[in-house]
This record gives sequence, C-alpha cells and structure tokens, in this order.
Amino acid sequence: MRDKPWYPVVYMFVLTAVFSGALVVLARATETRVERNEKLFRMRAVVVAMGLIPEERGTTAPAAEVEAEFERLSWRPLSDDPRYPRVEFVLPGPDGEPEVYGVEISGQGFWDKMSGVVGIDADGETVVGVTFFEQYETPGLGAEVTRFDRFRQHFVGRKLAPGERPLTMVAEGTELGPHEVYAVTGATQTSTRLARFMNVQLDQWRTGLAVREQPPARRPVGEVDPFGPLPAEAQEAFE
Amino acid sequence: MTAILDTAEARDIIGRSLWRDNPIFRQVLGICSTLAVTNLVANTMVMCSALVFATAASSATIAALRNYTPRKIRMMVETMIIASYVILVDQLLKGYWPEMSRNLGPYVGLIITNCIIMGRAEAFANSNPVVPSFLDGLFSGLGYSFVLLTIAVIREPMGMGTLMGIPLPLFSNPELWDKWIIMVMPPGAFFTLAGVIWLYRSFGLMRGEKTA
Repeated sequence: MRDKPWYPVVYMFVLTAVFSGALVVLARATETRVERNEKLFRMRAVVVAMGLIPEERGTTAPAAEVEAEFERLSWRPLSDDPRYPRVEFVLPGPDGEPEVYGVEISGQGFWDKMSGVVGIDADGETVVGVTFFEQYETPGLGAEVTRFDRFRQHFVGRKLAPGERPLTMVAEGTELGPHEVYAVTGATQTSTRLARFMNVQLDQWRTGLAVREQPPARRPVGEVDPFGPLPAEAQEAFE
Repeated sequence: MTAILDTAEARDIIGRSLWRDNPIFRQVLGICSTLAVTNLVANTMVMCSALVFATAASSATIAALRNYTPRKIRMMVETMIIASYVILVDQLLKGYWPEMSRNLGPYVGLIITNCIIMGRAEAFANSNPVVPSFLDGLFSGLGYSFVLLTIAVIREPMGMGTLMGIPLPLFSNPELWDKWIIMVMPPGAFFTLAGVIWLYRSFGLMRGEKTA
C-alpha cells in the first residue's frame, strides 16, 4: 500500500488531522485560562503602577485582591488607535476628585510594540510608578524595562518636566535630576524609542490634547471592559 | 525496558548523547538558542525543559511511525510532529505559567527550528525502535541542556551580577565587579561557548580521544 501514489497524500492528511485536532482541543481547554491570565496581568500592571498594590507584592498578590483594587477605578479612553489603544485610569477620592492617575503608554519598541502604565499622583506631575504589560524586547537586554530593580525603580518620585520632554533618559551611573531616569544599559534602542513615545503621550495626556475637545466620560471599570473594544460614544468623541 | 533494550545499549546511548556526541560539543548543533536564552539561568532551565520534552517525545513518535511514513515526505512529517509538541508546551506555559511564558517570549516557539530535534530524528529515530529513540532524544536534550546551563551560569553572574535572579556578593558589588554587559549580549554567548567547547575538547585530548 505504501507504494501507491495516493498513500503519502492520505497519510499526511490523516496525520495532520490527528495532531491539529489534538492541539485544537488543548487550545480550547486552556482558552479561558489564557484569556484570564492576560487580563489579570494587565490589571496587575495598572494597580501596581498606581501604587494601589506595593511593588514587592506586585507579582504575588492574589488575583482576588488585584481584581478588588481594579474595581475601584474609573477609566476613559485616550486613543482610538487600534494598534496602540490607550486608557487613562483614575482612582476617585471620597470627594470624586482623582487621587491617582494611571496613564497607559504604548508605542513601537526596538522589535515590536511596547505598552505600559505610568502612575501619576493627583498633582499631575509626580510619578508614583511604572509597569509594562506588553513588550517583545530582547530577554536580558531591552526586556529589562520590566524589572523594578534595574529600570522601573528610577521612575518613582520623578516629576514630569514642563515642555515636550517630561522625562529624560540618561546613562546609568550619572546623578539623576528630578526629571531624569536611567536608560537600560546595553539596550540603547529600546530606551530611546520608549522615551520617545512615552514623552509624546505623557505630554499629550497632560495638556489634554489626546482627549480632544470632548473627552469621553470616565466610567467605572466594571461597567464596560476597559481592555475591550471602545464603546460607540467614546469612538465618536475621537472622530 | 530490558526486554526491549539491553542495559549495555541503553548505557551506550546515554553516554554518547550526554557526553561523547554531545549535540553542542561535538556536532555544534542548536547554537542559535545557546546565544539567545543563556543570559539568565532561570529562563535557560525552562527553555531546556521544554526542549528535552520536545526532543524525547518527537523522537519516540517519529520512531513509532517510522514503518508507515513514506520516505519522501518524512521531513514534513517530522516537522509537523515537532511543531505539535512545541505548540503544546507553549500553550501549557501560557495557561499555567504565564510569567515564564512572557519571559521566554518567542523562544519557545523557536524550539521548532532547533537543529538538535530534527538532527536526532534524522540520525536516530528514523531507523530505531521507540524506546532507544526516546532515550536518545531525552539524553541528547539533557546533554544540550547541560551545556546551555553551564554557559548561563557563567554569563548571568558576570553580566548581571545575579544567579537565578539572586544578587551574588562578589558580582553584584560595583566596587568589586564592574558588570560585563557584553556577557548578556549575543557576543558574550559566542565567547563563552567557544571557551566551553575548547575546555571539552582539551579534556577529551587529555583522555586520548580522537579529535573530530
């Protein structure tokens, strides 16, 4: 039978069906878990950047705690760009005034898209934290932006400078000014590109340019998924 | 297992795969990932575990199907089997160990293109029964992992000052050690790999082994 001309075709077809079928079953079985992991990871990035969960418990805080902290937030979209959707999160105080902001930033890194959250105090200029929930930089080099000890810790307490460059990246080892953070040594391209889009987007957020004349209303996170597609009325606000 | 494979044969496969014909030392196979993931020990360990599983499972499956697989499409079949096992590992990591899945990024998927898996399939599993092929895949993977971990254990402290993410007293003290950034970059892997292969071959020469 192996000598028949149709045998290789049928053999490959059957084998492909068997292996693909097994992988489809596995993908279906883990789909919900993978989606939940992705969403939880993003929520974690938001609440840690905003200082609602301390950095040292950032990766270990239970999912229920992360979700509970996230539920306290309101949000509004900052961008309708489908490739780089961005959201502003706000923790409302007892009087309804913002206590802390979580401003999402997103742009092109060295290899691919990078997205994170910058936590900013109610004064609108003091950085309380920064986290990254999406990046595809080189492990051990550009990907070090995700590490608190190597990169993110330098953002805490910095102040956004007036003008087009709220934060400046300088070489490791130099003395940091109030508006300066250390770049990642050995990952100049990642640092430069991150600084470029982060500064543009923080400046836009600060000056309100990103939300145009009619900013979409803030809404509680439980009402409409901030990580899902933009609601129609918010979409209109950008048009 | 002794009924299917005698002890001497098993010992020969293990010794050959782990040391004498180590895929990296002797065959200089699979060095792409040697360069990519060995700057952190923890990432290397997970990557190696995935590779050991993929090599052993692929070799066993390819051996099990060897009498039914037409010769002219065997490489297509091998690639599909290897890809299936790698996707399985990738999906399980995404579901059950998302932090590690994120750390390794695209490198798990790239195991599909690792020369060692295809090399063992072509050189051994295609013409041997299931159990020896499984052992060959398992220990080739372990031999490869041994070299990768050796390189990672050298690179991480020298480049980052840490081992498994824990700061080491000598290497994390800026007054005692100025971190060698090049060690966490691809050239650092080249230098370390060359040094390790040189040591291995020198050791072999001392024991009277023939050079390749």
